[in-house]
Amino acid sequence: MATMSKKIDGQFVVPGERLGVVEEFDAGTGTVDVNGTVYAAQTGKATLDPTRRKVMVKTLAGPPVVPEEGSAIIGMVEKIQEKMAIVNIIMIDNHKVERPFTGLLHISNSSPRYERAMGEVCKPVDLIRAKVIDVSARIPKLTTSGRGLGVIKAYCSNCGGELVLSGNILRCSQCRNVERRRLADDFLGNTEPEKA
Amino acid sequence: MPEPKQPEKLIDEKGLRIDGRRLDQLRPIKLEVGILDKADGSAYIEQGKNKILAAVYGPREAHPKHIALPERAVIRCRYHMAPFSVDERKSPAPSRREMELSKVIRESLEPVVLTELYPRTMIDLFVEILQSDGGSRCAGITAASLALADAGIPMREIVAACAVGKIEGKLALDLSDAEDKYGEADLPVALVPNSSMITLLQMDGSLTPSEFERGLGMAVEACKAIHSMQREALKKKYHEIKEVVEEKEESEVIA
Repeated sequence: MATMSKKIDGQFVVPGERLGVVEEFDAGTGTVDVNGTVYAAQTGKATLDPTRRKVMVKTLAGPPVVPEEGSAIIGMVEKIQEKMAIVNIIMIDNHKVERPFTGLLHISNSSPRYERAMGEVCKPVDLIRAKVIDVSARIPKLTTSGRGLGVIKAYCSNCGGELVLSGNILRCSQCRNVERRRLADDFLGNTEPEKA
Repeated sequence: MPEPKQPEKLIDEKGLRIDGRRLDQLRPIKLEVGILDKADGSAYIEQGKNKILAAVYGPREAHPKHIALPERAVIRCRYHMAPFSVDERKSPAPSRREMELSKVIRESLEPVVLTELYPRTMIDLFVEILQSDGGSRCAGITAASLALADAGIPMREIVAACAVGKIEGKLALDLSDAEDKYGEADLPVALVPNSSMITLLQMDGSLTPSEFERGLGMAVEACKAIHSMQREALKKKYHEIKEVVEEKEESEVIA
């Protein structure tokens, strides 16, 4: 490997430090390519990937977390309308976000089968696991129709009690109210609590 | 507290200033990075008697929604002086001057932040002057760019800023409050060192073209010196966190 690359591999860098030129290696994460020269864009350790000829800056905290296409998210349903739900995104790719982003779940992306109304997919305060499918709109669009996606924790719309599955029926643990949801495979409270 | 009197002389016979500095000497600078827990990034600067905190949030969802831009992140900046930062109590409400400084600080940092990576989001920048001693916009920029770097927001470079001015007919670096008040000119400069880009250039008072040129040269040199201090501050913080992370990893391996 060239002497230049040896010099920077493993070095501590701050934004603006020159790492090399694009002919040596491509600009990876934490770096920026300005007119063919690669500079560090974040604080951390410059790391070379010789097989992919890429230079990256490894930070201790990682890059800022924002919803991107394909991100797996966990959100709390803020409110529902007939055909869509507004979701507060509280986790993105296993990173907790301190200040939630808003996402939009349309009924056509909510389930692999036909759903008549959003109230049969999720209800406010439910926790859902979803995927971001589009960030080009003003609000990131979500889907729950894939495998493993859907409601992971649900609450009774009548009394606020936890909903539990008994067989195929989703029932409130407090008031025995029966509800419908688009459930994820790993829906929490999959077992009926023992009667006191 | 009585109003501090105008000093008789800003420069003594030996060519030293009221705080004992030479004309081309910076005030002592102390920089700290990542001192606030709740903000995504933060920095603290002491430059002479200036004490300034800078904090960064974001990129986060833009509120109110209509300020969001489809192609880049918006940066909002708030420069604020604490009521106890000056001799006379300062009203905490934003003044004309504070609004202007918020704008120039934002504009001096916007060109280096890679805002295009985070469309439709917002980056909030707070510069809080705890104690003011002249040149606070420059010290604020120095601290704010460190806070941005601490937040891990991708940037082309770190910005350093410093003022140069004229007192008793002579160019002097990094004016203090009294020198700023009773001197003839003040020229704050923000520099993006490696790409030699100037992102802030203001002038109060008057300088001749040759003084301006010489003064700018002094300010650029000072900014470069401040830039290396910024790098050291980031390095110190990085190694502190690294030790904590490694310790945690070690204890996890043992467990």
